[in-house]
Amino acid sequence: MELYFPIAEISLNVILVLLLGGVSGVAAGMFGIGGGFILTPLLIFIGVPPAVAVASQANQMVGASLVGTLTHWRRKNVDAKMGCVLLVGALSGSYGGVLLFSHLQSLGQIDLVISLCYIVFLGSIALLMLLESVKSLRRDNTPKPLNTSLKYRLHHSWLMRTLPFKMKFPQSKLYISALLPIVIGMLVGLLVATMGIGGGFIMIPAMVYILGMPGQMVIGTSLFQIIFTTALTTLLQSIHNQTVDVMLAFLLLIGAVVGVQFGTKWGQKIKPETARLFLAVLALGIALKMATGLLLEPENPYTLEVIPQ
Amino acid sequence: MKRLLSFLISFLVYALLPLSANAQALIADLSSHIIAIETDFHGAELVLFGSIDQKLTPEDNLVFVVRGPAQNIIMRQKEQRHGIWMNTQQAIFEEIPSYYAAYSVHPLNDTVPPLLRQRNQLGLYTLDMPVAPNTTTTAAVSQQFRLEILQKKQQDNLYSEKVGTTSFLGDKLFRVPLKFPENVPIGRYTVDTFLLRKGEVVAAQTTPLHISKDGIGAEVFLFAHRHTALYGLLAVLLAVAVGWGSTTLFKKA
Repeated sequence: MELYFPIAEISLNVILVLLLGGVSGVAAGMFGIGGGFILTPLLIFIGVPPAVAVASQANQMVGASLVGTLTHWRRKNVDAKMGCVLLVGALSGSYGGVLLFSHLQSLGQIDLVISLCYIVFLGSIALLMLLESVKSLRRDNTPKPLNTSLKYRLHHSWLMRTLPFKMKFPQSKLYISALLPIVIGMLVGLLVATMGIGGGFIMIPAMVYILGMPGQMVIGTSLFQIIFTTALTTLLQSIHNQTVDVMLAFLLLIGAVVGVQFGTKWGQKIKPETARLFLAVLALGIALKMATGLLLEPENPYTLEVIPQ
Repeated sequence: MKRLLSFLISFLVYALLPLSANAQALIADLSSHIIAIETDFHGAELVLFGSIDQKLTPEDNLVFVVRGPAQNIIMRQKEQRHGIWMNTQQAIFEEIPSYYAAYSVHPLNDTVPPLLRQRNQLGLYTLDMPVAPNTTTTAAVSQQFRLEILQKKQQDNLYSEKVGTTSFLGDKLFRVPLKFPENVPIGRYTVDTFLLRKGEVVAAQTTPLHISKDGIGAEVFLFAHRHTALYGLLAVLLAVAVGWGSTTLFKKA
């Protein structure tokens, strides 16, 4: 069944769109990520113009991350206070990112920057995750003494202790400078707006390793702030570029909310280390795909772009 | 007084019309002047039909040119720098037809002199593709870009040249199917018909065509462009409603 999408200006198979949404939903339910870095490339692959894919994907993620947040909220796994402080940074960061995006677009280098961001950030985090999950799968249940871990050292470093504006985060049992989450939020927001993704895969490691948040809090809190950053992105894209296709976002979201239910169920059956290994391999694959795109000679070195009237 | 005058003028025009119609070398019209793109749009086919005054000889030609609204295009070229393939050249081309299709009874090169083809832009390789005034690329690169535009547009089914798709009923009545792909751009189109005899245009006619969105798709498109902020807000609210609704739905189930 084909349907014409008015903003994307192409006809797409409805079942295919629902399935793509479903895949991102399953990933979200299983791994606790937004699935943006999987869905955006897939949408572009089936013929959606990149600008429309990025913007509609943001719109879809508002709903998807709300679903995730509500689930974690019920289990009391959302640190709303930390989420709000992160948001202060993230919202200003993504506004800056939107400006950066249009500047790079006019220079014709936006694709290069997006690819490089994927390779550097997604690639390095995937590699770290891969090493860690392989290590923990091998040695099973022998926990290391905490004080020698990277997390412990970072968190108790001199810089962390001396930063001003200390703030209490009772739910995460933290007493740290508010500057830290603001700066992290800002950097992630900047990346999110340029890469067109939710940024969970960057935010989550930063929350664990730099802020020192407890593991069960990070996914819910990350999803909580993604609701607002993607809502802002949807609004800004609608106003500046008219690239949000509500019909596309709506169908993707329908697929995603169903997918999430299955993903959560399946996610409980597999070991978290195995899930992380899976995710790491997937992310590494996408980063490698981007890298080959830059390193190998393109089939056609010429690209055509229509300037909107 | 004015009314009487205009009545007299129109009377005169109508009185003279049959005479001129008889003498006309070419009459052509479209089966429809509107294509509406609805949510189940898969492309469209119109018929251009009409009559000519006498049989077409092999030196003669009947050419139909469909042009979509003009658009501006950025072309970019990637080159390898420091081991990475990145865009190094770019040029803006102005007033390029978003859609172009030329149909002819005989091949254009055989029957139409180059100058005439160029003047009337008959055929893909005669299209004017001026670069924007502040363009920095060399003439050679710009020319290569033009060829790439033709290539890419043909791949996307937006530019085409077809020979021999016109059918005749007797010597004088003709019809040619005009096919539009599903990604056809919206806007005002023109359909030009040229009758060429012995390498000269003896008659020409222009017929307008309007391609627009219709139904829910059109409403959404217009709303997104007219009330940008409200559209964005509603898009966010819709996503929130679906997310919230599904959570309560699955909790019950």
